[in-house]
Amino acid sequence: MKQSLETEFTAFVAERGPVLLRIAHALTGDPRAAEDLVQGALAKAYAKWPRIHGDAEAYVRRILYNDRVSGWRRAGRQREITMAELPERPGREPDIAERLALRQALLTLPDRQRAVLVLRYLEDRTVEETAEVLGCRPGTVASQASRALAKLRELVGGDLDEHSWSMEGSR
Amino acid sequence: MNLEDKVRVTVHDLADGARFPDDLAAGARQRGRRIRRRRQAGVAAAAVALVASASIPYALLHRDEPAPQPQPQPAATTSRPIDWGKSPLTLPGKVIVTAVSRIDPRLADVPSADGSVVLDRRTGRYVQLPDDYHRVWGAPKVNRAVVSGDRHLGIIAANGEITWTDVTPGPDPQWSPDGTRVLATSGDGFAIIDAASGAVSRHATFDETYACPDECRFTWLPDGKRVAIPVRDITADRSEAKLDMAVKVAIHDASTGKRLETIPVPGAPADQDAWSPDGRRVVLKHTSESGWANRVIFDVETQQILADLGEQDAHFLPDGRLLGFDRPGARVRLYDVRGRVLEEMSLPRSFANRTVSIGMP
Repeated sequence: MKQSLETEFTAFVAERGPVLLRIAHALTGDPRAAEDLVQGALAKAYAKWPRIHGDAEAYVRRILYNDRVSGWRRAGRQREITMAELPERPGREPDIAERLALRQALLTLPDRQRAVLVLRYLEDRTVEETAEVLGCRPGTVASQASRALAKLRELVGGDLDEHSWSMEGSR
Repeated sequence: MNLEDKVRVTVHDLADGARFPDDLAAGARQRGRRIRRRRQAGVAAAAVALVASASIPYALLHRDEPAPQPQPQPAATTSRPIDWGKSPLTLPGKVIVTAVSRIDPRLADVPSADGSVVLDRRTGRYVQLPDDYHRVWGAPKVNRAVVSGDRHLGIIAANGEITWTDVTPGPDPQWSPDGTRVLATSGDGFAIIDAASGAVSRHATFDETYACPDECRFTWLPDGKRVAIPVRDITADRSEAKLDMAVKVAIHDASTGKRLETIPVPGAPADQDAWSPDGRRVVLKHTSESGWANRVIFDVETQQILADLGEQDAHFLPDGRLLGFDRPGARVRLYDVRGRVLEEMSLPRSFANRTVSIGMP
């Protein structure tokens, strides 16, 4: 690859890598898995860089999500992960405990449902945009999001709509 | 703060836990070069495979595949063609191979040795397509193929020129029986692409889109004027652990999008040419407990499953018989409508794990 394109690729990773890693970490919940996911997507982009460098970020994002949910597609439907124990219900400190419980519950969702939530709530994508990234129908996005929220409510508890959270420490 | 707000905060919390490694670009570059080397090696290997079948034993390539279902002895067998790339390859039932598509690399990290080829009807030879296309669906007549790129579907005409459309790739697009149009399932309905002009007409079918099962794909009916989409039982509980069950198909007018009728059908019509020429029978996709999807023949009039073909793909031919491709892409079988094997042919070894499109000579 020409030196100018190599330089461009390096600059792209430096500039957009942190954003991509945030997405990957929200998808995987694990720093190493997130790094591997992003590195794999960037590797595919690098292999095609002369052709896609003008719109590299959209390409990498699509690969990122597709790689994460491709196991779901290959196997038909991925079964939900059964939690060994139910997440801890909010106790004396409802804010922190509930946040942790919700985080833990979020990580037990099937990959595709979590991908939908990340696109909708981290990237603020519309249902249509989410469907395009995941290569499915908007109706599927809506039903996956609905199922995911219902599952979270079931796992964490029915009073999720009652407590207010401090936004400190969150974006 | 409602649940959605809390999920938003939690997803941002999770994202905040990311750490940026020092060598991300270097690692990606190293892996990217490996991918490029594999692709370059793959193109060369695929070119060789076009003119001479590989001699790797079948068992070595398919250790993890389930054993093929036992089939009754066919009335006739045809040996594996050796030098198939230089003329249209004829299959049982007197149809020809119009394209052999690699596995979608977005869904599985496969080297492009499993590249795609398409029939050039003008020369009668098969030509290899560039790596840029993810999947290829050969045209049954006239044109060469519809292909999926990173963002949109493209039509390759008889002269090899490609026309990109603004239709996003979704479930497998379907060629019309006369090979002049392509039916694509979209997020809110279906789109018909005119292959000659690339013009797209879109039709929204919100009710069916809402009630569509996981296997959600429009198929052409044999008259080329109507299309069908499976509909699930919307009152049934849905589960991540199993596929939705279709209970009927909704028939729509292909030119207006208007719903015409619904027919009880317990499954999703599968593949190109899913319907028999008289429209009385349909090939359905049936997913077993093990997750493998077989094809079954369903009689719409009697509401009976006539046969479980145990194949990965099956297509009705114009004479009412069926052609079925097995899962590893090793054999193709000609069936009568009762599922009896009439003829069997071994496919070239280079077809392994790819999908085959068929058409008329």
